[in-house]
Amino acid sequence: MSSVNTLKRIIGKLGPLLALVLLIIILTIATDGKFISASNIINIFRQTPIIALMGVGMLCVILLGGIDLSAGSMLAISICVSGCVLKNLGISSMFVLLPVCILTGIAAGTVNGLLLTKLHLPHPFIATLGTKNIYRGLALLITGAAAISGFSAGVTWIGTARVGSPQFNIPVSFIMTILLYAITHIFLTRTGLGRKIYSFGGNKEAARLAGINTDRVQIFCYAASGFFCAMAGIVYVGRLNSAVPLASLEGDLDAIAACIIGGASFLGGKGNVWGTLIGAIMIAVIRNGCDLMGVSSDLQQIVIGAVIVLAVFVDVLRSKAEAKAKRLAIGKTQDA
Amino acid sequence: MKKKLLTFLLALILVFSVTAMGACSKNNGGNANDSGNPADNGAGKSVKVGFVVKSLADQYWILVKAGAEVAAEENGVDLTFIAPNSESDVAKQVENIETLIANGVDILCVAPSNDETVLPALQSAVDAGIKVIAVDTDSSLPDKISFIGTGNENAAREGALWAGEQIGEGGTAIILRGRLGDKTHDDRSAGLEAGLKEKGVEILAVEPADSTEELGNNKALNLVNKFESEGKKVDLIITTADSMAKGAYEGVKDKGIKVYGFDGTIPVCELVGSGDMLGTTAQSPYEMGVLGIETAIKVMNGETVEKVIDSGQKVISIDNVSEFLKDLQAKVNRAG
Repeated sequence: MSSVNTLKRIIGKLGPLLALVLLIIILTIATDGKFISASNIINIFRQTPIIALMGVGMLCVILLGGIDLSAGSMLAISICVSGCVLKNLGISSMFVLLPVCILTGIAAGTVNGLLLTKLHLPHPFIATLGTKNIYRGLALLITGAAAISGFSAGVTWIGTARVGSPQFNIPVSFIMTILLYAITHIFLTRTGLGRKIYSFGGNKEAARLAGINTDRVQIFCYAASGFFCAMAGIVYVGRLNSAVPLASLEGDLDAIAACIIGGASFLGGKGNVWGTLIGAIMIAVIRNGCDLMGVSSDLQQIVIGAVIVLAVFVDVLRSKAEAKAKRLAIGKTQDA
Repeated sequence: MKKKLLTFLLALILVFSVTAMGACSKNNGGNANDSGNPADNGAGKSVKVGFVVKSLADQYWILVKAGAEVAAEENGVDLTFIAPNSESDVAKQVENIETLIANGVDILCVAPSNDETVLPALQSAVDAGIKVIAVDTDSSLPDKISFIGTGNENAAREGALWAGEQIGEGGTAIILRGRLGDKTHDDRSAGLEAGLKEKGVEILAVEPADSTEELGNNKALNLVNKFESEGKKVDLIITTADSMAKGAYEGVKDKGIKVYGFDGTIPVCELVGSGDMLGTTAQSPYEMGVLGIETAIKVMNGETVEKVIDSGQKVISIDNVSEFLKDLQAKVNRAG
């Protein structure tokens, strides 16, 4: 009996991964194996990091029970400030431009956290909706609404370089994404601050009464979201060799979708980084697979929308089943 | 305390970087004031022109604005130039038009984001005795005075004819186009198809990439990969906007595929100049702005104007790009 339960639990945990594997099998059959070819797999690896990096930043915020609508705008402002340093100050060194990009992202995220905790804006939706517009507007303002190109090879290295043989080479951006995911995983599960994030998401009031400095935890998470958006921005600059003020217009929604598909709960306190990674890969896979099959982009949107709804629905069913199992177990112990 | 200081410092960095970079756009604000000082145009009363475009989040529209402002200043026209924040914000454009009607302009120059949506607002302008001129994108308003713009279908055809000739008969091409249902892109896409067919180029796919760098990049990678795995070589990627061309180029530059754009933006022109991209069809946004004001003056003087005024296009290749860029840069500088 208990082994069946363990099996069920494992399947429950691996749900998103199983869905991804299933999707890959379906796409492989539907495209006569084109999908699984080495060059296509590399394409997917190239198309995943931007969504995945923004996704893990978003996860930190969603774990709090919050949301960050400014993610796409933070990506844009980070790369555009870097671009302006390049264009107006003539500094092309990666040792300046990359830190500027990252610091801008962290600063932008910190402002979100401060608005929420110090101005006591009632919901992160409001603070980040405001900054979404502010950051996008600033990005357009400082660039004069034009893309900035001419970055040095050092700056674009992360977004363009690949390691491995000519037949099968893995993009550095993907490796970096995996590393950052591993670090975030360790941080969230093994450190005090990481655990505080989960407990805040689980029950704000309890966390506060337990003596957790909840403001600090929140500011940290929003700053982390800014940091990951800036990292995604660095990948963006590399891939497109330019800083575009209108970059990642719908990036925040993709990031939210990746978290949700990966099993994170909007109520906070539930979710893990690997689920988010699978969610991000799933979005990239669906888009890529639809292109390979010649599915039009309007249908692609419908498919992604349906996957989001389905993923959450499966999650709802699962937690209902879990609750029922718990009730039965309690009933049994009481009977005994 | 330390953390507070750190947070404060980061916020400061953001503010600093934004203000420092703001220096590059300080002229923007200055120019806007110029239009507020109408000189006497000899008739004793200056002409009031309202200009509404799709957004100002794109260098293209900023050039339209620059042309209109320069022409307005030269001719002593009282110009109000406004636009929504985004091309998709059709409702805001309707509001813009209503604002200008209430302001009592004599002439309204409009680039409708969506023909049908703004039609009632334009009709009420006509009812209020305002003369309406469509700029860039045509309007189906029966009482409009004139349409000033690129003949999109014809311009795209010209570009495709030239690009098709470079590829040669029997070559293959992928078309990346803007959002489905956008008349401008429908026309350009049709023009591209006609031009390529005329030159005997096989069109492998016509795929929407929504005029963004990211989608242009992803779609190019996925489609090229798809056709290569089917044993078809792709010779040309041709697009209905430079943003997609730039994205596509960054994706396939190591494959030796030629990329041809539409718009004549500075980053793409620079790549054409260095021999990396094949070319682009340049429109004349600056001339559209100038023609808008000149036509308005003619209308107010009771002169008859052409129903359709073609602002012209130019095929930009490595042969004429440096001259074109110099001219464009001068106009951008005039815009601030």
